[in-house]
Amino acid sequence: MTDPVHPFFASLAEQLNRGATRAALGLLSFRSAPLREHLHTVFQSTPGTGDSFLADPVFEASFGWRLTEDTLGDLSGRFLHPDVVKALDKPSKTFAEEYTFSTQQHPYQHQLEAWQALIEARPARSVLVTSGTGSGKTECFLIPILHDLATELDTQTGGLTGVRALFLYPLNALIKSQRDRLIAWSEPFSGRIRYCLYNGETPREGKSPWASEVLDRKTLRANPPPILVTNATMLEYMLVRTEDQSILTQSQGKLRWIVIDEAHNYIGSQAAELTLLLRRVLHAFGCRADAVHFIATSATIADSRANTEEQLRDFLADIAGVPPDRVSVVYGQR
Amino acid sequence: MENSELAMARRAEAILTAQLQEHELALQARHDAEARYPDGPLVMERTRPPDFPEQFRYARFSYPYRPVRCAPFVAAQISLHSEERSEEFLFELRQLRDFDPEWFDNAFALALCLSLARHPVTGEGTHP
Repeated sequence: MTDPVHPFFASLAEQLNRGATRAALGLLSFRSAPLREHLHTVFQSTPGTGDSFLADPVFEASFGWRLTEDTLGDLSGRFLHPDVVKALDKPSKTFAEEYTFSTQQHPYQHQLEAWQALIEARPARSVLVTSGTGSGKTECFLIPILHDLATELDTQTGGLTGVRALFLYPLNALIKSQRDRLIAWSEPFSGRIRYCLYNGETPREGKSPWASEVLDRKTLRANPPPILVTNATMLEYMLVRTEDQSILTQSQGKLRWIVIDEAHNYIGSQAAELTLLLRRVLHAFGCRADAVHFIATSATIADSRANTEEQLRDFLADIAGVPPDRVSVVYGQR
Repeated sequence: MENSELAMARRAEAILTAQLQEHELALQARHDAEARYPDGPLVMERTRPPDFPEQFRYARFSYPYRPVRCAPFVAAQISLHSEERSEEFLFELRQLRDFDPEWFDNAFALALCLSLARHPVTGEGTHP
């Protein structure tokens, strides 16, 4: 009998080895081609043997996250905007391997719960998603936001100008990981849905090869994209800096989503400062708290204690300035 | 020496852990979102053995924050066990300390104290 599992793990080990070799040689940047070639050959040997780059792989079994009965395809048109489902199913080719969310795939139960709370519920509900690493927390908020933007696109020609969704990250290092996913799923909209990663490293001028990416401050200020990914420090600057005023002016009354990703990293005075900052953001964008969906995600504040749900609800309600009964807490379930 | 930090740690560890929490909050407040926290793979590797105190692994934080936070505790453990480490390891520790010497020095002192306090007292002036 053939063993279908062994080839899978064997190819996975090869894939890991290939990736690690490429990354290491890229970082070392040796000029000598023969040296590069030699190292490439040495590093590529089977993991755990001789001079191999990687040790024997160790696999840890874990329970998967609970799936829904519906596939993503079943939700198209009925619940999610068909263009969003299409973009998830056929993302930008460069990122297809990593970010394809096939129409045949079943979303996780906690993803569907978050989508229902964020898309269907009226008036706008806020959601705190607490779940483990690799449980698709980003999809919990990004898909409803893309659905909302795609629905708005139906009512107009051309792309969207002005910030509708603000993604806040506690550290630049955590922002970068979102770039590929945002390109993968926004690019199918041919530049009608754009995003910008705005932090201290954003260049003054530049041009992205992607229609969906606003790479520089000049374009951001001239034509703000609907999705702005930034951090608390830049947001502070944005509220007071004259040159950023055009972003606020063009986004008046349009802000509908505020995402506080990796919320567990805000502790002490940073959490208090964020709370006050969000009040000023709403004021500067000309929006009311009850018209904005606040979403917080966290990998590590989940707990099985009976009062945890209440504490989490209060946490987001306090930060967002909305009543606790307008906040849903969604747990990842295995 | 009844009122020394070590004696205090033996009597009520919570006093020192409360001080640590204050230093942690101060560390967090000193660095905004634009900060570039240095990585420390060798230091983080040293936090993996089961005898490393769970609370000082800082697993509740996202990875970029952790090496700087863990470094003083790793350094304290190395000091107490008189371990010899590679130049590369020491360089990594220095880089992590340089990011915020105030945090490192305060946390290192407290970490040494907490670790010593957990060792059994074998006699006046005896060290583990």
